[in-house]
Amino acid sequence: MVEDRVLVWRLNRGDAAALSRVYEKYRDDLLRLAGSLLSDRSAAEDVVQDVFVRFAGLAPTFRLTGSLKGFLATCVANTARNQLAAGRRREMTGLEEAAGLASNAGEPEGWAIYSEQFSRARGAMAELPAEQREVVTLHLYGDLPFRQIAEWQKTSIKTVQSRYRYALDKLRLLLSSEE
Amino acid sequence: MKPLTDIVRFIKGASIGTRVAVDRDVLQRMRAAYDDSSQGRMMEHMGRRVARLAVAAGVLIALGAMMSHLSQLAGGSVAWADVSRRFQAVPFFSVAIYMKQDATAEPTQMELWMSHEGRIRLRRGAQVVFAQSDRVKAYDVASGQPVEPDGLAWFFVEKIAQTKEFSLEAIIEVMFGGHTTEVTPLINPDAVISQDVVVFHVEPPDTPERVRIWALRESRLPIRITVWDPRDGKSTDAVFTYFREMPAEFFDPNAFETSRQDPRVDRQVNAVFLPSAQI
Repeated sequence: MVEDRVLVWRLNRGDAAALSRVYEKYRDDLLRLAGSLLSDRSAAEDVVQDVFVRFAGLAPTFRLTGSLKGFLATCVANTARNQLAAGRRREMTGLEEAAGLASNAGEPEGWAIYSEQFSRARGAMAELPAEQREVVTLHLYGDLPFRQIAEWQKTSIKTVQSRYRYALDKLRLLLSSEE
Repeated sequence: MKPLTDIVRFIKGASIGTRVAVDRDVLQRMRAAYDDSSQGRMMEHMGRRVARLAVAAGVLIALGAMMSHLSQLAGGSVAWADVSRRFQAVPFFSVAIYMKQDATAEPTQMELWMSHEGRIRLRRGAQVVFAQSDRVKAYDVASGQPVEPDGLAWFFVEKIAQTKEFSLEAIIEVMFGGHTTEVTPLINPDAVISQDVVVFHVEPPDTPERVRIWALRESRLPIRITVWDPRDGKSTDAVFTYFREMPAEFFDPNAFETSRQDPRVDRQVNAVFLPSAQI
């Protein structure tokens, strides 16, 4: 936490070099978080880029009240949720065909390079209900405590803990059966 | 079937790489957003002074809120308010601060001396940094030449200097931000030790980090503050020492600069620890 406070303090003072450290420090975890929340890889990368750029715009007057990683992770999760909602709206208005064509056009060379292990973890997490997937990824990749996830999901901490437990049980089944 | 801990380890350990060209592009866009931010431009134009005043105001507000909160919540035979008051009365202290990035990392260390008037001298790596109010000067120990202060040293020195008072809260604020919702005096379970030492526990609300403060029961003086992050073992430890007050020149950057230019002064240990008249 001390390092994050120093980074934010430097950004408040006009030291743009601190942006690079924030980026290097949290890029991979945010990409893993977004990549696990969204099935579309390029959409996940767009979400992370968007969050970093928006953070940079806020940085001169940003006030850190908790964990910087938690803040960025929550931003990624919020933006991912909006993306999913927009996707659902597209489906309801009959545009899924166009979206499908776009995604089948072959994945352009993107930003993230997934390891085999991450691809497996991501594939297994895609089988989870959205609420459980959010809890697992925010807790494991965003380091958010259950209390904060409960506030974000607007539910009780017990519900979040149950979702986490059910999710891990299902992931255990899925990942063990692959071996 | 794998145990759940293995599943957690598998998910957390799943690595990801990135393409350098895209990294460069994202960083450029971040830099552009930072530069374009109207607040950023305003901060640059208004200079450091306003930023410092804002930091000072924030610290003072946090200190006030924390002090009243701590006084209400602390219980037991030694109240937190006693410790804070007693600390405020000591004329001089030094503190060694150790920081570890994770559970297995080697700690980095800095030493800080503070006078009753709020003058600060800090040693981090090969730098000695002097601060009073908003004036900060740093020197390379070996050459005695002025240098740009190390970022972390800047952070510590400036935040403490801006409080303009000799307070324990200033130290705590620097270490964990002052967002305190709960303080509980925890008596050390060892009955013998608890005759001498009282322990206070602070739990910041938005982070799992833990803060603990050890104070001597008799003198009411704090001797150690620890901030520990259970997620990765990252920690900051501050160990306090009290001794005779150092002369004013110990905190005087000009005296340091003059002494380092003296060819007879060749021992770095003296340059770091002694007032120039005693070197």
